[in-house]
Parts: sequence; C-alpha cells; structure tokens
Amino acid sequence: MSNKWWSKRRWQIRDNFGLSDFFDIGDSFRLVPNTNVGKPSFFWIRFKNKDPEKSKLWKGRYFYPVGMQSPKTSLKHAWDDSKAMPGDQNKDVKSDFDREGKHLRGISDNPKTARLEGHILYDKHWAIIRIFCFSKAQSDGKDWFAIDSTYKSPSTLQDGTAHGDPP
Amino acid sequence: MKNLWVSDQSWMIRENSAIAHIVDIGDTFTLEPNTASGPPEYFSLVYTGQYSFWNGRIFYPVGVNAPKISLRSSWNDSVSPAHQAPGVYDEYKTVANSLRQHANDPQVARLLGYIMVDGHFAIVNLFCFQNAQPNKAHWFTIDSQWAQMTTRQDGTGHGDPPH
Repeated sequence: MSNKWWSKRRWQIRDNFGLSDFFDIGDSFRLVPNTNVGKPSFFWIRFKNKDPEKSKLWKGRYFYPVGMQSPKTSLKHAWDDSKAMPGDQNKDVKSDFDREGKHLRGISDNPKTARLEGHILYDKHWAIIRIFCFSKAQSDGKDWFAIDSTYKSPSTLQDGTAHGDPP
Repeated sequence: MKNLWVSDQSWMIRENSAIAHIVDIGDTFTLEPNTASGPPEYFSLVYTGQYSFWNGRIFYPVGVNAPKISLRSSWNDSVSPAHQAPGVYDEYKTVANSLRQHANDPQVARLLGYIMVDGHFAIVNLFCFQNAQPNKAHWFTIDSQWAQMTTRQDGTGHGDPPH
C-alpha cells in the first residue's frame, strides 16, 4: 500500500450505505503523499464534500500505509457510474460489490492486511477509517476503492464499508 | 520507532493520573514485533494488569521525525509519583505534555494504535526513548485521546522498564 499510483487520481464515492454521515454519493477525495521523493510515510486526504459539515470531518486528516499483504479482490462486474444511485445498479452488480466490501471489512482488523489507516472525529468520538485501493479491479479495467469505518461497539452507527472509483 | 530495542524489555507504568481508568501504576506491557528479521511492521501489545482491552492490540510505527526530549532528573521507581524528589514529578509531566502536543502531527515518530474503552475508541500513542533518564533508564509515555470536549481518559501516563 505504499505505492503511489492511487495518489495520482481523484476517487469518487459511488455507494455510501452505512456511512452517509461522513460523505455523500458523488463526493470525491484525493490522497496527497507527504513527499514526492521516495516512499511516502503518510497521505493527507483532501475530501471534496457537498455538505460543509461532512467536509469538516476530513479536514487535516491523514492516513498511514500499514500492513504488508495486499488483499485480493474478485469483482466479477463493473459498476455503472452513469446510474446515480446504488439501487439502480443491476442486482448482480450491487451484490457483487457488497460482497467484496464485506470481505474487506472482514479482514480489515488483521494487522497484516495492507491498507491506508487513519481516524476521524465524529460526534465527539473516533472512527477508525481504512481505505483499500485496487488497480484495474473491475471487469471493465477500472480502478476501485473501498472505505471502511468502525466507530462504536456494539452499535452499527457509521459502521460499514462504502466504495467508489475514479470519476 | 522501527527499532527493535523497544521490544527488548517490558515496560512498567509509573504514573497514571490522567488515564487512571485504562492503566494502573505497576501494570506492565511488552511489545512483540511481528518479525525478528528486519524492521517490524507492527507490534502486538502483551499486557499485565486488570484492563484486558490492551491485550493483543496492534501498534504500528508511524511518522518520520523522532521527537527529542531532555530529562534532567531520574524517576525514583521505589516511591510513588507524589513522593518523587521536588521538581521531578512536574518535570516529567511537562515533558509528557509536550509530547502530547505532537501526538496529532503525522510527521512525529511514535507507535500508534487503538483500544476500545466503554464502547468507543481511544487513540493511543506510545513514545519510547532509549537511555532518556540521567541514570540511563529508558522511558516511555503513553498518550490516550478518547473523546472530544472531555478530559475523561484523555492524557498521558508514563513509565520505564521494571527492575
């Protein structure tokens, strides 16, 4: 996860189910490396949110590359970016991406799993945020990311995995 | 902070006034590296004490600039925080608080992890210093940030290796 390819593009939220207090569908972000010389130690996240309150959550936040085993994805479909809402996707597509998001969430606590990890302050407490970026993961060759939040135990408030791809 | 020396000994809490509900004085922990060959990617914390939420938590070495500290006195491990020689308690508190100021700077080298306390995460930063005390004892601070707008479980404890 220390490769810089994913800092060269903007990423757009396509599905925000479970994390709608953090960002809206269509919001986008960039990951800016702390240095352009050698391997970055961390990345600043620059979120472009429609909602200024959500934007505040991400201001000045940063993510460290941690773990060493890159997770594998097995998406069989491509997300149709022309459809505004996740519910408009073909049923098989939605379930394919939901399954992949769930899989990543299942391995996100494994310290070996490579990811970007950071935390944001939401409603006075910390949410642990993990970002997984994949090159050419979709069947149409497009990159893809998943963004996972764990906020509170045992509530499911702002707990879940959202995803997207480049605009 | 990738050096293996932090895992060569156990560490003991010597002062906990700001984080008394997550560590007790006398609690110990060790940091087990994920590998013995080359710089570790992470450490698993092995804790001895009543707060089991520490056990097995993962700490990653993050940041690039090692913080500098200067301690003029050695902590007397045979007496409580309140019975340290005049000025020692305040000196250590000042240094710990100065490290706390850096805990949110991504450039500052430290070990970073999370624990779950009362249903919410505390962000925990460990700063370890080799031969930091005048008597050459190592020293660490353990900084916790639990919630905004409250000082509950927010603060810095510290300690050094047991004898």
